[in-house]
Amino acid sequence: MNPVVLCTVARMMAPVLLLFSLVLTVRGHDSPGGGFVGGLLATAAFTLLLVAQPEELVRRRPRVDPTRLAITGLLVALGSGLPALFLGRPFLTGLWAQVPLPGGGALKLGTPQLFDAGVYLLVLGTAMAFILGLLHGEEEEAREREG
Amino acid sequence: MSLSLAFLTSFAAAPLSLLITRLSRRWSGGVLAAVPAGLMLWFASRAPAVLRGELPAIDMPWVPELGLAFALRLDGLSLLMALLITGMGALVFLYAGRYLGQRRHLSRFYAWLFLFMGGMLGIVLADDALLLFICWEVTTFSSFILIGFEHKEEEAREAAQRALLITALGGQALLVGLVLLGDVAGTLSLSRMLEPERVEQVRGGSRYLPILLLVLAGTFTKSAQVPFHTWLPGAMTAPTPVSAYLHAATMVKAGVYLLARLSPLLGGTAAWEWLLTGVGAVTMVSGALLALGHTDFKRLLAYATVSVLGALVLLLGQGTAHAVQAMVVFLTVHALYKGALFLVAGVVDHEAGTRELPEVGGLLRRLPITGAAAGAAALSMMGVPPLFGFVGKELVYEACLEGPGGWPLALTAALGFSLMVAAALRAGVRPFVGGSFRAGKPEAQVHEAPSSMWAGPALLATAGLALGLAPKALQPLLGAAAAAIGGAEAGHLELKLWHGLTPALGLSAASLAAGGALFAARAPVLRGLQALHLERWGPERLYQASLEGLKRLAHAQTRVLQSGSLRRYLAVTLSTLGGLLALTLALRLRAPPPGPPGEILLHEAAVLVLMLGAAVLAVTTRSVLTSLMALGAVGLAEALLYAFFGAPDLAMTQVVVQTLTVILFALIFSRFPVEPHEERPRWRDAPLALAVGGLLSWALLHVAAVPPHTRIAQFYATHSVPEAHGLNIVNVILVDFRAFDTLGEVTVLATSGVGVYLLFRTGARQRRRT
Repeated sequence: MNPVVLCTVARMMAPVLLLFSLVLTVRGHDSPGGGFVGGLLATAAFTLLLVAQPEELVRRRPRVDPTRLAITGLLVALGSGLPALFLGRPFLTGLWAQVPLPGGGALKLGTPQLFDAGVYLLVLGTAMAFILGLLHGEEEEAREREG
Repeated sequence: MSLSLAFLTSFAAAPLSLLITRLSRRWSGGVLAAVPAGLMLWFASRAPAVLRGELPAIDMPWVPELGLAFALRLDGLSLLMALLITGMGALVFLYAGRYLGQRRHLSRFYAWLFLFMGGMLGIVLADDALLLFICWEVTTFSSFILIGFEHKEEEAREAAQRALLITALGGQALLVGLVLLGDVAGTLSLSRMLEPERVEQVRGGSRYLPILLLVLAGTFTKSAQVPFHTWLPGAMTAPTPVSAYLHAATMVKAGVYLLARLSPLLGGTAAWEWLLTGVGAVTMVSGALLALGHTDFKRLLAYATVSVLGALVLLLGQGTAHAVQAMVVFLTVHALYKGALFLVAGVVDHEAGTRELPEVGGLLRRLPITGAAAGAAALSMMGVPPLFGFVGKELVYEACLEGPGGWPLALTAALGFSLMVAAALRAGVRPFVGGSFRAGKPEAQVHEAPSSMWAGPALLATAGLALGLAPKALQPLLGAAAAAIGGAEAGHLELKLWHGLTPALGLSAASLAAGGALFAARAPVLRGLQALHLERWGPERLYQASLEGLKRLAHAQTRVLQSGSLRRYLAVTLSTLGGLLALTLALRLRAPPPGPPGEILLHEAAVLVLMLGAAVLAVTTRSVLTSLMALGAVGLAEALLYAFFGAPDLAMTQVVVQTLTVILFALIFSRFPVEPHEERPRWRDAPLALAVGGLLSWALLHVAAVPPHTRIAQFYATHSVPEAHGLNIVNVILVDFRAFDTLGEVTVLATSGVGVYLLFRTGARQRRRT
């Protein structure tokens, strides 16, 4: 494929994919989706960018260490189980609240959603760790061949 | 409540040591010694209540499902041990501050020492068998770390590994033994086990012997009984304060303590008497013999400790009221003099720069206080009146003579004591008064140690002398400890220096004379002993051989399984899976697989044909990239099938996973070239692939034929909305009903991610270096 086409498509598609991954995660509790598939989709979006523009990777290393992202996700998921403990319920018991919206209706918020957000971050971090690990190695080898 | 506070204080003090050491290395030892000293005062303040029979106790549920309780109890025996642990602890902290003052990781050392102290206090205070076991393992592990504290030295690492292997294996046996015991007795509470009907159940039960053997395996390894003793001399690579504290005064007594604690329950049978007396006697004599033959100050003391531990076990084996009393007194005697002698060994090492006994001599002029303390401690070790050691030895002889062992046992003990007398003269007397100084360091540069280092040995040695002159001072405490083991009869303890002209006194005098003669004629004896290399035979051989065997086994299976060839890994994994499947199918299901459920519609058939075509392409094409793409097509077609059968979540995940897998593989193939040996004919893999694939299909057809668990599905369908506020059952199960499972899975995932990332980074760094 023409790299220019791939590059253009990647630039256009990556934000859409990222947005869709968030949508999937948020709506997961009621419709198909969830943190796991959302995190994977976000990984796919970033990977698309990286494959289309490898020089981007050389110029700008990712600002967030993927393993740190994974650990943060794990902590968020763990943390989502704590509020139940304070109420004397078993760890990870789902707690829900209805937040009334101005235009009528209500928004439901719950600790399982936080848990899912943690899974999202964790999956994204872990998968990116795999892919960045492979890509960095490649890039370093390329630099060695030049130098 | 304050009992649990006393138990938890030393754990809390561990992080404190980091702060104190940062503030002042010089004073850290003295400041931190205040923690055990304060604890000792607290325990001492409990003594009047305990002696009156009001035993402080707490009992809180911890993990009720396992029957695990946070139960502590302070009786006479626990009190005696707790006072020894905290008292020795204070001296050792004070000593270590100066001894290790310049060493790196001093704060870490203190922290481990505190953890150890907490574990040790837990052992003697615990009234719950499982709590006791947990604390037991805390001491095993902290001992491992402290033995290997000089971890850059191979010898220290080897010794630490050996101690861990032996004591942790014993610990596993102990755990099984305690669980069995709890099962038979119907309770894990150590005090409730002693109720008469429960004792009946345990002793009369068919599981008595397995329980006894397992408990003995745990206690004998911890208390260094022959043939498990080989770890203790090796443990002398630990810094000297550790040797004095863990490997003389406290931890090695944990096994003896537990035997004493369980003796009313398990003791009194023929098996108990023969095993404990036999092993104890062998340990006592061989330990003393090995001690005599050594020239290293600390190793000599370590073997002497082995010998004493043998004597204590022997006394427990006798089990009479007098034997229990003698055990308690002798344990205290030993903690005092052996602690002192170890600290002296540290001073000599620190000041004269050597631990080799033949190299030092006439040190009394240079180290007057240390030398005096060493002399007093050695006299107590020999059992010379009027020291406390004499009182203890008299009791041991009396107990042997009166017990079922009679004269043969008393003479065996006398043999052990005679050897010990000679060893004591070599370690505690000759380096200070006889011989000449031949160490590398000029003799003029040897000075008395700072007061924080001689304070410990001086105090312990003085206590040995004072208690010998006025043994009545400790009578109530030791009596209460004996009563906790042997009941009211053992509680009537009368300590006195002069017992009159008894056979015990005769044996005492004879062993002193024999030991003195042995010392006088030591040159040929030592040469003979050293030529024999006793420590290399028997148990040492066994340990080395089994360790070598284990290593060879590990090497062999690694060579076979971890060959580095992906093809080999896959073949091993798939044949294991296939083998297990075939076994299960052959054993469980004799009926042929049922036909596919339902009929196949046209669009489903089309997808199947697509999958099949892509799969054939994947295995036949020569291009790696084509193969990858074909595999991707198989996966995407699979996602279509999921979508057809009403699993949108699965379909979606499958699409993304498949896409990422293809990308990952493309990246991997671009990094790792296909090695030539991987290019052998592919048809060789066909039989395995077809067999495993066929077996899987067969199993799946059987699975599909089983009607699904409608009850579970029904539960999720009806409870998903009202209880978990979600319409997507799959997601609700993942994040709510089975969130704990998900948490476990994602933890594994994150761990693997971190691991892979680190592997890549270290790989890149190594390549850069070369």
